[in-house]
Amino acid sequence: MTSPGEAADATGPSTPVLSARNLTVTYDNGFPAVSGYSVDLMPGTLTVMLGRNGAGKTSTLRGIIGFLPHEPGSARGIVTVGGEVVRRPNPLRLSRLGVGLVAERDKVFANVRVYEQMRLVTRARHQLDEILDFFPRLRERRNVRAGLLSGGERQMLATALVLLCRPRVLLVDELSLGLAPGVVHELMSYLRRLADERGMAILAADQAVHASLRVADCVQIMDSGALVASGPLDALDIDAVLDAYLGRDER
Amino acid sequence: MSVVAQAVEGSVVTGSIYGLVGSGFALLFRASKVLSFAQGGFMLLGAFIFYSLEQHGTWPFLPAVLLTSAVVAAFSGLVYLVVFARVAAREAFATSVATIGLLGVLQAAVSIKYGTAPLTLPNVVSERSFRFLSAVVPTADIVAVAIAAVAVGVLVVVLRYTPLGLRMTAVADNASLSVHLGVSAARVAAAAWALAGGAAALAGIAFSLGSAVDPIGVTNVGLLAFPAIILGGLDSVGGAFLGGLLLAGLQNAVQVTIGSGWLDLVSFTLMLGFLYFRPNGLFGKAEAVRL
Repeated sequence: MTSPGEAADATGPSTPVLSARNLTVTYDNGFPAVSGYSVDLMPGTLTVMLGRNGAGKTSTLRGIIGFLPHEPGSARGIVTVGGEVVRRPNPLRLSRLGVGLVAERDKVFANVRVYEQMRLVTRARHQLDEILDFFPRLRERRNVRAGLLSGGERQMLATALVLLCRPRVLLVDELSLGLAPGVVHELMSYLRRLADERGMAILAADQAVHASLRVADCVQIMDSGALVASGPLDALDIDAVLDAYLGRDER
Repeated sequence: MSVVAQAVEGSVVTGSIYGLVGSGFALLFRASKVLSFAQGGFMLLGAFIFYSLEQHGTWPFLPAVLLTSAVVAAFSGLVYLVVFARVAAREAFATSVATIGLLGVLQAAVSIKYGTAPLTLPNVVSERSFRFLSAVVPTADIVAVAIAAVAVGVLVVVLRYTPLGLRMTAVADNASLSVHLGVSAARVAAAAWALAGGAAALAGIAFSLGSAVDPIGVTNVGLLAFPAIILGGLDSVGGAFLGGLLLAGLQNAVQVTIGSGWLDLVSFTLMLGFLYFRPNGLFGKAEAVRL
């Protein structure tokens, strides 16, 4: 097992594009969801966060991008983007700093046509074409209201919307939720390509252990709101770690 | 025959005004999910600001109309940002109730300054009347309908064809996702409030042109916009306008056939009926849902 700091060393001398230190997330009812979480995300690197239901994966991602004033949660800790400490992080600010979250739920505009909602994010024609080239399925479905898309198409659209914000860092929550294994593999390979071709730093929380480890560079394992393992995939005894924290049944 | 023609004329004028208030209301509801009972208050504010400008006949008509509308629009947007934005994101219902408070404040403020009796506007438009078929059409009515038609046209164009309109649609659909994609939901909602406030001010002016600036009459129109919107579809700006015309037509039919005592009973019963049988109204869209 390695500390999050060592994950950085393994990917070379570059500095992390996003890092979080000692992140704590608490909900308004007093429930502490995450404590002492840290991560360094390197350009071109795909980090996968594994953990059971309720282990704190979603709360961690939300903690990194921060909460809106009316949302019933708060995060403490230090988040830096491009080496600069972000003061009072919130989703609007992080989005403008180039950090995007593909959320677990409600991630598309259900009543708006696919192409229209992409135009909400940008009107730059070449950028829209580029993203439709990347997700050809969305081009076929461009005039469909998003509420009528299939689960896999909805994930592609959700990812496309965030990508159109031109993020340097992509946070992805449960890309595989409710999808067939074949679709999950397809989506995971999209993430791999984003890291390889665009140098994006990606942190993907997922329950699809095999599909996500197949494309991962680094792994983090969460249990009861805390990080129990973190490091480059090849430096971890991944089988032992998975056995210890996820149990054989969940693999 | 002339009774019918005159009733139709009256329906178009009143309906345009209901429709204008209703369109602003629908826009505001779409973008901020708040049912604003304060639209009548903004109408009142518009009517009285316009009255102040025209009291001594100092302002030309069109600049006075535009200035009034702009002032009320700015005020409405500001009220949203300062008072409602934080609460609205969490509690659209509480905010809707709070708008009743806002209506009360606006009514009280206006009555302190101007009293509660109707005030006569100087002749800001020509007193000439035209004959159309067998109806008498005063210039004031033509101007009122023109104001409403242009204003609703502007709202529809903004909503359908501008980036702001697309943002409003998106915020209406999923405000928190908008924020995650870098769109400030609070600012978009404030813009919707401003447009709705400006529209209400114009409706207040249009309503007062033909008669006097009457606080009670104006506020009543603000309330009658509700059946109009429910008829047209809560989230449909164009639908709300057509709903206004339909409601006014129905009211005039009731007035001619049964008697004016039945007006409110029929209007609000119709609203309840629509809420029960067709909650999306005639033109509102059902949500795109796939199970």
